[in-house]
Amino acid sequence: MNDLELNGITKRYGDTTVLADINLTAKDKEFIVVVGPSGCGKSTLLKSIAGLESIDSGQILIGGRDVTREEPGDRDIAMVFQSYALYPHMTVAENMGFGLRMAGRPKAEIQKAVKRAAEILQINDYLAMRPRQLSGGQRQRVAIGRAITRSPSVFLFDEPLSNLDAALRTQMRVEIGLLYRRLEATMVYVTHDQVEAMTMATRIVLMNHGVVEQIGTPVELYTNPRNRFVAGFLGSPRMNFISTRAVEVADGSAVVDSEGLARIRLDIHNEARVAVGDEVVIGLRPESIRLDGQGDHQLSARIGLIEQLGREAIAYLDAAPVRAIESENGLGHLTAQTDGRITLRRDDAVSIGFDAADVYLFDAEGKTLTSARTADIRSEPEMVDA
Amino acid sequence: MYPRQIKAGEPARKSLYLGSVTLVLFLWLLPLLAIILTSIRPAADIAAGDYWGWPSGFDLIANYTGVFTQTPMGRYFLNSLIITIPSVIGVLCLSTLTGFVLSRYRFRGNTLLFAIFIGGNFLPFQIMMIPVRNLTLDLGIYNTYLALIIFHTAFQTGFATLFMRNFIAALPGELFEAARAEGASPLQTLIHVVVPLVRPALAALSILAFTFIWNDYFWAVVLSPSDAVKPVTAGLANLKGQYVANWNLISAATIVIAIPPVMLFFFMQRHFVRGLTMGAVKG
Amino acid sequence: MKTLWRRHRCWLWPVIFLAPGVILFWGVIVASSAQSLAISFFRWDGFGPMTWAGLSNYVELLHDPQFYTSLKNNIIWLVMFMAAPPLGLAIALLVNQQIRGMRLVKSLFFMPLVMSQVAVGVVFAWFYDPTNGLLALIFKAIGATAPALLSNPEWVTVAVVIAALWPQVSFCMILFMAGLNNLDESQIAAARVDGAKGWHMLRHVVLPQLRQVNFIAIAVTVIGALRSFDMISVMTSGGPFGSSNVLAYQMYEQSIEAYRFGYGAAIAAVLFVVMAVFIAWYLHRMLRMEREGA
Repeated sequence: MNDLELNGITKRYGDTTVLADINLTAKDKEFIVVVGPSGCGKSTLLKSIAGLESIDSGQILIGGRDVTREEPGDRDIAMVFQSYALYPHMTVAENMGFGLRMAGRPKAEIQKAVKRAAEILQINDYLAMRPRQLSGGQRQRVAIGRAITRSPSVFLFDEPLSNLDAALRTQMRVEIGLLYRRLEATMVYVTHDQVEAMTMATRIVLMNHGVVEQIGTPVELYTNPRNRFVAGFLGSPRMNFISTRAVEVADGSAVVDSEGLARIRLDIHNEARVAVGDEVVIGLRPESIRLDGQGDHQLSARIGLIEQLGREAIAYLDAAPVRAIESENGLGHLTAQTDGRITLRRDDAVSIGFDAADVYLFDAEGKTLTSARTADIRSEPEMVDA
Repeated sequence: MYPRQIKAGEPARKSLYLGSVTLVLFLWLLPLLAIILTSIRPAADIAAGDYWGWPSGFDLIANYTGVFTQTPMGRYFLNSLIITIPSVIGVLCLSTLTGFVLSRYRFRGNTLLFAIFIGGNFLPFQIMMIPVRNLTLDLGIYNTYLALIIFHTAFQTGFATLFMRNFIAALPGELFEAARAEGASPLQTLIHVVVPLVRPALAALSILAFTFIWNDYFWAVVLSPSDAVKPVTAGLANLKGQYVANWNLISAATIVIAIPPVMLFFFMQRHFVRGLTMGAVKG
Repeated sequence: MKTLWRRHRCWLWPVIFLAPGVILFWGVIVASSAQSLAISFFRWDGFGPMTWAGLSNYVELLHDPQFYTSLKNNIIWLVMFMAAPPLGLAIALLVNQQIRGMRLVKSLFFMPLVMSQVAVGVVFAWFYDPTNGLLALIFKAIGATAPALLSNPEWVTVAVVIAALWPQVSFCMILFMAGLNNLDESQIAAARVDGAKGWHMLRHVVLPQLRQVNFIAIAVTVIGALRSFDMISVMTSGGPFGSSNVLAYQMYEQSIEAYRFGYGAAIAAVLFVVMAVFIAWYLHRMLRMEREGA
């Protein structure tokens, strides 16, 4: 069993708390992606799991064994670093066998393990080379190979793709996905890239300011964000947020209204705390806004800018007096994602429409008020059964 | 590049430039050229008061062998090697250890410890003269090689620690984290990661330390009064007093004692310059 | 025992690594510096018992004309040495061209630095020699008589400092050459596009980028000036009549030659205080730069 369990991990640097009471249970063979903006504590969390950073309180269990006070080398983990961290003075084979050599294992065993890892990653041809003779992608493979050689219970990845160019990054992302299926080990993967998080994870841990905002499958986080931060972090372009006010609260529903925006009735969940007159925020994903005016609600707007991406287009809409807060372009424009075959131009007047069922409602603190909805997008089919 | 580089298409400018650089260089090295010229002059020229005319003969070999046969310079030269080489090795070992710890381990007092290494090295070392002399007397090593070796090792460790610590701090931190994650103990990390990676720094440092220690005069005077252990610098100062009339010999001796550091410098110039400028310039 | 080692090895190793360097450096360098301060409160001939003298060594120092001469000479050293950074920069600018053969030229400019100060002292003593030296030759050529610089109380310190400047300028030059090689090319190019040239380029674009090198060059120059000993010992032995003496050399004379170790230690203490002020400034700046850089 290669479970990883974090109980109440807390870490401070002086007065700043960088990790606040982190709890997480990763079951055997899970691919956990820890994602969040830079400085959210995700790398610190990973290094704490590795034992490279000490924690102030809490407990780390790997395979049911308490390793909180163990040295990194005794934790049965292997780590892949952002800069690959290959030793420039050693060959690829020496790099890969380093851990086993330090543990004093016999030469034959080391050779066998290196050979096996090299075959998995198809780097047999490079074994005698030095890291500096390799390309970025090849170095990254060697770094992963070094982790595989040790056959650890838990693999830790620290933004492994961020030093690669875009094309290579996509390729390596797919490769790591395949590798995961082949190795069937528990993996914890840190990134700031939501695409990596959405595509690779069996479960995402979304962090901000040292706190876990939400844990769940990618689709769960996308369709039912627990708060405004999660809703805003996942999805590109970002969700539109509009300030408004609750004008009517009944059992299981609330009505919001503000200038320029029609009265919208929204289903809210049982624990939602909202009263008439409260400042609230509605959220609407760009793909939920339609430029043909179809939908339960309509708004008149002017096209501020069209970004044509070919298959799709992003429209920035001036819907004054309705203004988006924290908008993508800083002008308070709403963002809509639409078909690439759009004929509209800058300054055209349009009627935009959306359905109440697509609207999210958040209270002043950012907590989600709308009730959970079922995903209408297909979920990743190849998840390992938990 | 600043100043603007002279382009290949400006031959006149280039000649003018090379001419003026040569002139400045000539003036710059004039005192040294005077010594070199004197060192190859026959003793007869000196006796006749002919210092600057064309030499009546070239006694290069006679003068330079004279340094070793007529004066105890050979002994001094050997002493200098016996003192300098172990000191350099000691400095390299100690500073690799201290530099590694000070750059890679966070602990209370790290900065203070580091600051003391630097501050101590900046002190005019003359102020330590009396206690150091007493220390060597108490240990019974006054007027032995060991006294100089111990002092030079200790003193240069200050500068060398600054040097190694900055070099190791500039290495990617993830290399050390990787070693730890792979289960390497600090000793294994030192042997298998630190030492191979700091080789260029060690090369630079060894030349610097060699030059500093070889050229030391003060401690040679204070700690080694007898000819048996006296290094070349103190020896030369003695010769200057004893052989006043033999400027050709003194000049040759001056050149002889400059040869080891100059040779090292020419063969490993890249390391020397990088060593001296480390920390002064990033990268 | 083994488990104890396993548990504590992560901090025991660094302690073991640090120990030899720290013990040796503290035992010899730090302890000696501190002990020097202590000895300055005693009367001691270096052999017999030490007797408590209180502040009397310092009081005597304040009434010792030689002390003021030495202090004044140290100041002359310090002030004149400040010519080393600009001269070093000038030579660095002169030779910073990528032409065949310039590598050798640069190495030859470094030469004085690689030689020992004793050798430099001998070279200049020969250069200054009033009857047969090169300087005398130059004076003869213009029909004048060369001054005996090293036996002239008014000029002797200046003459020694000029000799000492020779390697010091080399040192600064090496630093600036490295600095010039690490300039941000895009900034220079941008300034050229904006029409900056010569002095303006140097003043507003190049020098600001050499700030850190400048700092180091000044630091090593100050240290060099306050440590001056070898040249004085070889060229003048502090003479004539103590007129070229400096604190470091006076301390040596008082202790080793006059067997007045307490008094020598008091001079060392003064030198220490002067240097401590400078070191404090240096460390403060250096650690601040490091924090900013990190």
